[in-house]
Amino acid sequence: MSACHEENQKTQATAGLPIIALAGNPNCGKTTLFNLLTGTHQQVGNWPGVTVERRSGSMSLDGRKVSVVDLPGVYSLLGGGGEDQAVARDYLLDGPVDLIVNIVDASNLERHLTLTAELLETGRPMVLVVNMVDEAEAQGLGVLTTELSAALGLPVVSMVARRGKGRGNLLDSLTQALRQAPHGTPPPHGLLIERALGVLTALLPDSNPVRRRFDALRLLEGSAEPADSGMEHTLRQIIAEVEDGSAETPADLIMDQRFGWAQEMAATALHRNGYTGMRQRITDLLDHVVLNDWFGIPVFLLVLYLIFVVSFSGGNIFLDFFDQASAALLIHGVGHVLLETGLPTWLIALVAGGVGGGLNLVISFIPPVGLTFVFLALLDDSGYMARAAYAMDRLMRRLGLPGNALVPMVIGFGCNVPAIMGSRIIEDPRGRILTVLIQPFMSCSARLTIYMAFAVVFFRSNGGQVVFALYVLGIIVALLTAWLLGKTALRGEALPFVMELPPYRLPGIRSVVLQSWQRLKVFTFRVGRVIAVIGVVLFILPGIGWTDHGLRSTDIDHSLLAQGSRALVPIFAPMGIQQGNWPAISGLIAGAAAKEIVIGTLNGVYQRQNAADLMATYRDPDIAGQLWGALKTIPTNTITFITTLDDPLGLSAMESTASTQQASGAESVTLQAIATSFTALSAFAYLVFVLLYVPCASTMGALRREVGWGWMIFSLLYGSSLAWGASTLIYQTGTFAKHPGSSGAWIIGVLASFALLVIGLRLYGQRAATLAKPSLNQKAASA
Amino acid sequence: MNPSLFVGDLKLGDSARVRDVLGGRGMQQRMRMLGIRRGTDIRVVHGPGKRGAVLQVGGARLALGWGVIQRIEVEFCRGPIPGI
Repeated sequence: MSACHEENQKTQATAGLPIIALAGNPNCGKTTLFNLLTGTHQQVGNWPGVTVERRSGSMSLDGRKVSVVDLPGVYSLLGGGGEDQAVARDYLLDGPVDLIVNIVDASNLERHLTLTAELLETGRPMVLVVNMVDEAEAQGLGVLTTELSAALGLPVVSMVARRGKGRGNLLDSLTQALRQAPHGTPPPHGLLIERALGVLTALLPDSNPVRRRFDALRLLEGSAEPADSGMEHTLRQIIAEVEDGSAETPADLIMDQRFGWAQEMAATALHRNGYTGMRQRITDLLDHVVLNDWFGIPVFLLVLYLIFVVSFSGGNIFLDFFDQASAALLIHGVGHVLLETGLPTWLIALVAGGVGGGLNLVISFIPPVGLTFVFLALLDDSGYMARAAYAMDRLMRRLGLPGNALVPMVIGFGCNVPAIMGSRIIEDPRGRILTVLIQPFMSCSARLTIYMAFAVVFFRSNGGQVVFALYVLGIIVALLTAWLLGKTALRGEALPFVMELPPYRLPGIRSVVLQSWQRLKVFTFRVGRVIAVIGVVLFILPGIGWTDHGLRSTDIDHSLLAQGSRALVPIFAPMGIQQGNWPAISGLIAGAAAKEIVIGTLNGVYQRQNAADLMATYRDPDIAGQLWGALKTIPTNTITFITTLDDPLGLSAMESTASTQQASGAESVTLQAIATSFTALSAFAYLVFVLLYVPCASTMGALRREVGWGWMIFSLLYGSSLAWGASTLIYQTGTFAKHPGSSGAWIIGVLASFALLVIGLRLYGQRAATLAKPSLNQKAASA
Repeated sequence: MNPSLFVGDLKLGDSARVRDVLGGRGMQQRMRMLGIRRGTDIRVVHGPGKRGAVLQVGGARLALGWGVIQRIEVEFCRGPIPGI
């Protein structure tokens, strides 16, 4: 899916509508308010979670459709923070905004109001939402909205957005504000500063006046460099003039004014009630455990472990139902209907077997994936993630990563794409590139499907450990990659840790459900689309082949797919793939599009190799019976879930072939074929390859967007070579006794290539450093 | 004149007032946007340790790494400051 395409859809859908933009500091409840206002009327362009891009939705106000834009949190319009904050800043300064809704946190009013001061200075119409008044009350603070409104000259609405409190008042204020735009009174700068701003804005390039005023403010505050020496000279002059007139630097004057104003407004708006201190004590207690030097990291690992355990085993309750019911309807049902209409059998097989079978695979993974999303949303809402990042900071820093890199990594267990996007919260570009590059190694939910199919065949008694080992291996490779790149190509130190710890909150059911529903929707549609297409391709490729008479329809073993895959077998031979096992390679090739379909491909090919008469099952399907059978799996699996609570990963199911085979979505024919085509060792090597090689197409797209073509191609080559190297090492070490000569050669070859890679990265790092130096010197000279 | 005191020199539960934020433009701005500037009242709610410290600043809790807290010069305040 292309970003451009989405962008077009967005603009088309919202063209001509009045635009309301939500602005505020991070963690002030913008997204909660956005969800409250727009409900499900959202154009989901990116994954919700950490908001790093603007999102739009629509709502109806007074019978009129209005577009609502949710922006990433921003502390100041004058600069600072990561890419995400720049997105918000640019939109607020340049975007076609008709009304700003500024959301401030009542429990931390003074700081939040400094952004309000800057927003007022844009001169745009504005409504102020004082959110989380319940948390302020818990601190013994009451909010006087009427007084604040009078002082600001703006409509002020007090709310508890998470509980929907104050929604009616807000809607009234918004309706009113769109009719008659409210412009508040920004804090006055005084004559000296206004004059200085006037001179500077006249010199700045001809962009929009709001942007020019802020550029001038940044120059005066010293948060931006002058563009050229002429400008620098003028700036110095202006600063000297202000200092002469006031005995203070313009930076001090402006900031004292702004902060003084915020303090005064906060004092106007708040009055102190009785203070119980209960909440504070609870926070202190929790922080004491969660941030503890010794317990911090174990607590975090425990939380992660629980999330996956509950997602997997809880998901298993409904997995069979989703799988069997969708198979009954989409494969057998659709096949039967098409057969009745008298369509040719090849077309029926294509639609029911190819497309229907592909969709069936996606649908069966909805329960575990959906539950993972629910838990990630809960984690997000609870205020714990920032604390986990702080707890892990020292460990991560030793590896050259900032502690907040942890947040995207956790998201990566769900899907690598939002994880890569989420890396925008990291401020320094070096740390961000590192964080982005390690995401493909976090084992996403799609890869689990492949592990499970293989685990049931080869690692029945210790499947849990094997799957867990693969997850851990992914994390280790990710961290080592960061360390390696940090020591070679991307040298430097992570910026010191700075992060606001949001208050602990009981997650709101509404926001958790909405957030995970959106993620699931994106997951299902994106993956479903890819799989349906691949299903068709996989139907055609195994059916035609290159013969002496040109392209003709052939049996599967002489098809294009077989010919192509067989040609690649020699490359994969060192990791234990035999000549006859070409379907394993077809799976890997298809898996480069989306890892979910590796097992789907194996399924399709092995099935056709061992073709059963599918048409017979379509002719006389017992759909009602199958649906009833599917429904019956729910209570059975619930009992299994309860009785296996002591087997946290829910992997004892691996001991029973039937349940895991359903869980993996692979038919028993496929499992038998896997059993004859692989050995336990080559299967493990294959899984390691699947874990590490080429991230899926969507992930590559995200990589290109976030770090550019160069690093995307690097990631592609690095991941694939690492995958090949690691699985070859595993297979050759395991079979060393059989052929020490060739195994030894392979092992030495792999290690030598790795050494070459390290040297290459080092050289790149040195070159990049020497290239960067002259430009720094130039800057210094010009300064 | 008292010798310079930094956040890292405080103890858990101590309250202090920020005297100055040392460091370049980027550092100043990062601190300012989180509400730490000359005259801000702070309280240490976790640490300080090798990792850094968690400070209560107004209604917010800020986790700051060691490299940051050693650039925040403070004045020790006896007893709790009301409001934080």
